[in-house]
This record gives sequence, structure tokens and C-alpha cells, in this order.
Amino acid sequence: MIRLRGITKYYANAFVKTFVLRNIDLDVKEGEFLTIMGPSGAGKSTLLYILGMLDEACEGEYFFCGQAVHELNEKKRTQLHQQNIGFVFQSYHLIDELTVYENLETPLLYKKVKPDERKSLVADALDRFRIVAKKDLFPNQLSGGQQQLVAVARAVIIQPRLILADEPTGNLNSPQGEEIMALFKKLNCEGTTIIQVTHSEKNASHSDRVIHLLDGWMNNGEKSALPGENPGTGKRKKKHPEGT
Amino acid sequence: MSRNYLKLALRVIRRQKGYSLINTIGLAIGMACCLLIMLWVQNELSYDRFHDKGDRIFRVFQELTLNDRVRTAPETGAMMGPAAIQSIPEAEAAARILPMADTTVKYGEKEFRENHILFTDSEIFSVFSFPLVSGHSATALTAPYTVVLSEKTARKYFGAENPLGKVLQFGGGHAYSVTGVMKDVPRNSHLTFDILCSFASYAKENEYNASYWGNMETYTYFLLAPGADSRSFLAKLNRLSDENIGNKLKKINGGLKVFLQPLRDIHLHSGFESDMAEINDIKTVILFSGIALFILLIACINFINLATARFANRALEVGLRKTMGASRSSLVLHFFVETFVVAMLAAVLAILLTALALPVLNSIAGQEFPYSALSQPLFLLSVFLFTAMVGVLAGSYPAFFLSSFAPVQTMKGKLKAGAASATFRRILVVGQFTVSIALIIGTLTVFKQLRFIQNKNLGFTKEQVMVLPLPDRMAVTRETVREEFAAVNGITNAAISSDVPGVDINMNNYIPQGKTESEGVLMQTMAVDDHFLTTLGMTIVKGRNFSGDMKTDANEALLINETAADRLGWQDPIGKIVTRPAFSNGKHVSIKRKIVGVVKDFHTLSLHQKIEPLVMDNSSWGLRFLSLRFEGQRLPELITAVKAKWRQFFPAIGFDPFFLDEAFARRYQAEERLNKIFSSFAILAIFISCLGLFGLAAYMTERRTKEVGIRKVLGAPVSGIVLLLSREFSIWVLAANLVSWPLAYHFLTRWLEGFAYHARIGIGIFLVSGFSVLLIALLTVSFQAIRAARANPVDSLRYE
Repeated sequence: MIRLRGITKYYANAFVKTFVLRNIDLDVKEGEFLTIMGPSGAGKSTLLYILGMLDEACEGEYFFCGQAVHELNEKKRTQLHQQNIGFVFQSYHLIDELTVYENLETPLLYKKVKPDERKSLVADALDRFRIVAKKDLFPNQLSGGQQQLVAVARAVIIQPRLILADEPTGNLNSPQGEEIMALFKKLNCEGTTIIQVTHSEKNASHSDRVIHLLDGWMNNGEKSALPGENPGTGKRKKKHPEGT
Repeated sequence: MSRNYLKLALRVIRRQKGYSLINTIGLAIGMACCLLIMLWVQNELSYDRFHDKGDRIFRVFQELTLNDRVRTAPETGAMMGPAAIQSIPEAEAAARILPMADTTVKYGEKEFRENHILFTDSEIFSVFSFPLVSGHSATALTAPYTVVLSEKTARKYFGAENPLGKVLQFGGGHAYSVTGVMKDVPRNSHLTFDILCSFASYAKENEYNASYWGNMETYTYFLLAPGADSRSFLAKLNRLSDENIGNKLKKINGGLKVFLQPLRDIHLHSGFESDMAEINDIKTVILFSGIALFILLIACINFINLATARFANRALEVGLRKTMGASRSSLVLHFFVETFVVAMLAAVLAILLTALALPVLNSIAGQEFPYSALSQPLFLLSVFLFTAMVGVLAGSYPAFFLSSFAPVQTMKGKLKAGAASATFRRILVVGQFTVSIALIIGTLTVFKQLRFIQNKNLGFTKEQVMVLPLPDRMAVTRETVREEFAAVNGITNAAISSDVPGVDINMNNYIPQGKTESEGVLMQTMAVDDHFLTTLGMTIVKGRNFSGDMKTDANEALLINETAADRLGWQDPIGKIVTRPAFSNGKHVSIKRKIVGVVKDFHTLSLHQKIEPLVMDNSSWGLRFLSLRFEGQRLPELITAVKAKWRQFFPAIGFDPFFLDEAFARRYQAEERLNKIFSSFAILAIFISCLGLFGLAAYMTERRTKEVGIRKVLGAPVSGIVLLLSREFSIWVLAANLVSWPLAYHFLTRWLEGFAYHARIGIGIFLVSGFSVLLIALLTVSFQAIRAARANPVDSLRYE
């Protein structure tokens, strides 16, 4: 599904190039649950944003479902991302001026979904995430866990093939965090590809594969996709090796 | 989708109350200014549009050359119209109009002073669209001593009675019978009148003036036949004029050229030195419209500045929406909707403000706009247009600027205050203050010139002089009248004259001794008695005044002013002879006069015009003004005493005094208006600018809260912090001074050149304007800065 080759990102000023990512090669299969780990400043988030088509690499090739993203113009890229990718952030990033219902509705508006269909999709999502009672509240009237729940719901509502999560539990206490991770696991089982960035070994343990970044270099360290298994089907319950 | 934006926009407005308030109030004031000015401009442009045949109506104006002087004026001889109708086929109809001096009109017990009376013929009804309510338009003004009244005037005198056939007693002593009533003249007419008297009434008493082509005091209007060529008509009219007067003038080295002015150009495109018409200047219309638009622009700049300065608040949202798949265009639309919502709120408020300010506009512009003017389609359309304009002007930059953020940077919080937008903002603020400062300099300069006018020594004392227009015929001698009034308690002096300063004075040609007619000098001529100079406080610089003891003065002596002495070219004019060619009993005669004294120059007109050469003779010709110099403060009692005396002499004639200083003040109405409008605009401009500055300062102070905290921890005093926060704004205002000073200087110098005598601009006004704006700006900013500087640093540093 995703194929990165030689992805390099640097910030240049007059004299110095500061490298954030160096020559990253990465393949992600449909239905995979991938964790990116690494210390602060290792380039995790940058990599995530490049994958999400919000940022561009300076060098290298990026294929998404066979399409050469690095060759697309902005409009095409926006379309591709609109149809396929949902984002979840550490600090939820709900729009403060909008109610829960409207926050969920917004991506559908941008996708130009028809009103009837929009209503039913939002209703489904509210139902599914058990937040029907909260639909008319504003984000600041919700707890952190609830906000992140809404954020995940918002990411899922466009039925993306790929969810990108940037420290999704970073601002949550552990029971709330567990809930979100369980949700991700469930979505993954239903076939959605998930890539998360995290510091937490515990969260990483939910995933199929972990890659480590250090100073922009990637090493496919301790875990890789289990040979022989096809993660793409994703239907059957997998064994979870305890990483901690 | 758009409904979604709308809802969101309302929420944003509600959440950021202070910010929205600044924007809305600023925009509302700006729009209200524009709407008010628009009402006025629309009215100015509508002048004389109501005449059905308006596109075929022309007014005649003439360029008279005599000796070295050229005078362009809209007055002609009274016979031009009737003569042209006889001989020129292109002319379908001609109307001649001669304004009558203000007078009192009496019917039974009711007596009013009337100041809009015209002499004219019945043709006025065929040329113009002034419909009659009763009477016959073809004959109403044919006979001498007949009048047509406006409905309003008829009601004033006769109430419910039928006015036709009733007789009105005029102040001059004649009785006029009413032969018609017409609809009131619309306000947007350059011709304004309540009473029309038949021209025959005038001709009967002024046979010579009404027939002599060289007596140019009548306004002539032609209605051309449909499809007639105005140029060929004008050529024939010039030929006609040459035959009757032009060729005579050529013989004495002069000339007369006739021109046509379209009816609809009269109100805004005339600019003659004297004109009976209600005229204005298209330049004033453009100036006021421009200033109103500038004020709206200042308000739009507030919006732009605050929106871009607060971009950090919205940047995250923009990034977020982009991650959710928002395209740039949908975000641009989003921000436009927000701006339009604010603009619409402002529009509603602006209509309210306009309604509130309507009486102010009416008093400044001398108009009577009704409140219903605010519900006319054109007005509502312009509200809509201004709203759209504000939406586009104020919304474009923020929309494109805010939607341009790359999501990654905003999400990571890496977005720095865009250096480019800060520079842009600075330029806009400097622009705002440039306009404000220029308007204040303008206000002060106009004010200074007005004060200069009021305090200027006119060469006589205009204060405390009451003038009574005398009737044409009196049972007693003028000297008796004068002596009796001079004896009234409180009156220190009295004089009789043909003219007084502040009233237009006729000009005549005078030939200095030893020169030919073509070397004559055109001079203002007035007849005065021997008390005139002392009563008005004029001084003799050479020679002597007229004297009651010298009976020969009446037929021989002449006083001239200094300018006349200069123009005649004599070092010592005393004893020299000048001759005036005149026309008496159908014969050309020469009137010889000896100069006996030189009067110190005095102003007879407004200070727009240079002092003209002037002669005063001691004849009894045209004596019609009794000037009374009075003393003391008890004016009402004095007026009562003078009125009692008046009744004793002239029981049948209206008592109709005016004051000389007021007559002069009337000549500066346009300047008074300019002063009022300038100062209101200047106050609004500075208010809106400071409103924006307040918002900007609040925001920038907020952003530097942490810096202020650190500095305080490091030991900075409150004053140091206030200085730190105010310094940038001061620099902006100072920069605005640099830009606005030369601009203001340029325009005001040109304005002052319109006065023959004017105040000097002087650096003082510039310094005062600059510093007062700086002070106001600093007060605005320091309110925020002091609050920030006095805050407890612990609060601002607790986070992180």
C-alpha cells in the first residue's frame, strides 16, 4: 500500500542543512498496524506528515496504492488524502467553535458528501463510538479521553484506508489510553491500516511491527512483520507478543 | 456548506466579543459616513433633472471685455430673450429672470420677509416644468403687478381662502394681485423662489434698464426646438448680441461674447463670481466622497490588521481543516463568509447611525432629507454595494493570507509571526494615520482661515451696524429721515447710501482726465452722504470727506479708494477730473467729477476677491440703505425703538433690518460648511484609527506577555516596559506625519489660493496636528501597555 524509497527531509538555511530524515525506505502493507518509535527530534512526526501528504520530502519517492505521490500536484494530492487518510493527534485538535456533531461532519463537507448520507454517516459514528449524548457539546465541555474519542471518530468517518496517529494517547491517563488503543486494534481488525507514532512501549505492543528512528535514520530493529503471515487479511485475531 | 460557514462565523463573532466589536463599530461608522455622503452626492447630482425638456434648456452666459478686464457672468440684457425668439428659429421659448431684492410682503395682518422673489414672464412655464395649480400659465405673468405664488406661500398668506385675485402689499410700496398658484419648487432646483412677479412690473419702473442691452442683470434661458443645433443657434445669438451691444463695445476697445450652458451643468459646473443660482462645486462633491471613502478604507484596514495580527488563533484551525481535506478555495470562501457576516452586522448598525446622524447632515448641508430617504431603493442598493465592497476590501487579504498556511507548521506550533504580514500591517497603520493627520491639519487650516476672515480688518467696522432698506418713495426728505433715526436712543450715527459693503455693487467705466474712452477704468460706484464714512468707520487718507456745507459736492465731488488711485495712475489724485459716460433721456452724456479725497481701502465683497477700485459720489442716485451705528448691548430694546420710529415714517412698509456683520458672514457659508464637515470627518477618522490601534496593541501586548514577565523578573521598571511596548506605535505615527505633511501642505495651499486674502499655513498647525495624534495614539496604546507592565510576572511565567 505504501512504498517509500530514499525519503530524505532537511531544513536548509544559508550555510547548514539540518537533516530530519535520511534515506528512509519503508513498505507498509494494507491492513498493517505499524508503530514508529524514537526519541524526541528523531523525525517521527515528520515521517508521519509526509505519509499523510501534509508535508513533502526533499528527495525520494513515495507511492501510495501505486500512485506516485511525489509527482502529484497539490489538488490531486488533496483529493487522494481526502479520500483515504484520517488523522489523530496527541492534543486532539478538535475545532473549538464546532460541536461534536459538527466536528464529525466537517471532513464529510470537504469530501462533498450529500446531506442525507452525511447525516446517516455522522449518526452511525456517534452510535458506534457511543457519544450520541454528547453530540451537541463543544470540545471544551468534554474530558480529554472523550475528546480523543471524537477525534478518532472524526478520522474514521470518511472510512479511510489509512489512519495516521501522532501520539494519540500522549495527553490521556492510562485507562483512557487503553480505551483508544483498543479502538485502534478493533479498527485494524476491521481492515484499516494504522500507523502510529508513540513513546509508549505498551502502546507499541498493540502493533504488528515497530520501526525505530534515531536522528533521522531508520533501523528495522526488534520486530518486523511476521513472516508467512499475511497482515492484509486482518480478519483473524492475531497473537499479541507482549513487548514489555 | 455555506450555512455551516455562516453558523461558524456567528459563533466566532460571539466568542471574540471585543475584537468583533472593534471591527463592527469601525466598519459601521465608515459605512454610515459613506451612506450620508452618498445621500448628499445623489441629491447634488439630481439638481434640475425634473424638467421634462431639461436636455433642451440652456442658460446664457457672457464674457464681457472692457479695457483690460474680462468678466464672465451669467447675466445678460433683459431684451436678449424676446429679441432672439423673434429672429432665431432654433429658439422655441425663452425665459428671463431677474431676482428682486429681499423685501417684506403683507396681506392684512400677515407680514413676512420674502427672500426668494423673481421677476419673470409667463414663458417661464413653457421653458421649465413648474406646473400651475390654478391660473393660466400663458397669461398669469403678462400684466404689470401680477404675482404667482408657490402653494406653500399661498397657504402662508391666505390659509384656506382662494388666493386668486387677492392683493399683496410689497415692501417697496406696490400692490400685486395674485394671478396663479404653482406647485412648490423642488429642493433640487438651481432656481429657488416662492413668489414670481411679472417682468412687466419691473419694466414699467425701469424702462431704460429693461431695454438697454448693456445693462446686464437678467438671467436668460432658452428652450431650443427639438433637434435644433445649439451651435448654429449660438452663432446667431452672438450675431444678434453684436448688433445690439457687442459692436458698440468694440468701438471702445471692449467686446462681448455669448455662450450657452446646459441647464444640468448649472448647479455643479458653473463657478461664476456671482450667480443667483444655488450652486455647488463638483470638486467639493468629489472631495467629500473621497474623504468618506477614505474613512471606510480606514475601517477596512482595521479589519485586515486585526485579522492578520491574530492569525495565530486561526492558524491551527486552518491546518486542521487542511488535514481533514479542506481545499484552499473552500478556506478562502470560509473566511470571506466570516468577513461578510461582520460587514452585514456593520451595515445594519450603519443604517441606524445614518438615521441618527441625518439631522446633523441636514444642518451642515442645509438640506431636508427625510427619514424616508433611508428606505428608497437606491439607498438600499448602495447599502448592499457598500457591504459587498467592505466584504471584498477587508476580506480578501485575510482570506488569502490565512488560507495559505501549511498545515504541518501550524500543527507543530512552529508558525512564526510572518515578517511579511507585519510589514504590510505597518504600512496600513501608517496609511490610516496619514489620512487622520491630514484631515486634522485640514480642519485646523480651514478654521484658521475662517478666524482670519472674521478678524481681518476690512477697512471699516462691520460690527454694530444695522441697515434698513428704504422705500423707493418717501414723503419726507432723506435728510429728515436720517436725522430722526440718528436721534433714537442708542444710535450714535446714521448715514444713507446706495450700497453697503457685503452687497453687490455696480461697476461703471471712468475715464481719467487726458485719456480716451478706451483707456477708462472699470470701478465700483456707490452714492453716499457725508455721514457715510464716519458711520461705517472708514478713514480718509488724503483730501477731505464730502461736506454738508458745500452744496456743490452733490454734482461735482468724488471720493475714490486707494486701489482706484493706484489704477488711475496718479500720485496725487486730489483735484483731478474723471468722466463717466452715461445715458440719459435717450442721449449719451458725460458726467464730470473732481476727486476731493482718497478713502483707505475697504472690502466690499468676500475675501475671496481682491479689493476693486471704487468711487463714491455725493449724488442722490439710488439711495436706498439707511445704516445705523449703535452702541451698547441691549439689542432687542434698540430694535423696538428703531421699529417704532420706522412705523412713524412708513406705516405701510415692512420693517426689514439686517446687520452688516451677518451680511458678510453669509458670504462664507461654503467655508463654514467645509469646516464642519472636515472636523467631523477628522474626529471619525482618528477615532476609527485608534480603535484599530487599540485592538492591535491589545493583541501585540498579549503576545509579548511572556517577554514582559521575564523582563520584570530581571528587574525592568514599569515605565521601561510601557516604553518598550509603545515605542513601535510611536514610530508608526511619526512616519505617518512624514507622509501626510507634504500632502496636506500641497492641497491646503491650493485651497487657500482661492482667497485673495488668506492666512498663512505655518508650521504650527502641522506640529499641533502631529503631536496631538501621537498623544492620542500613545494614550490608546499605553492603556494596554500599562496593564501588561503592572501584571504579576509569576502569572505569565507559570506555564511551561
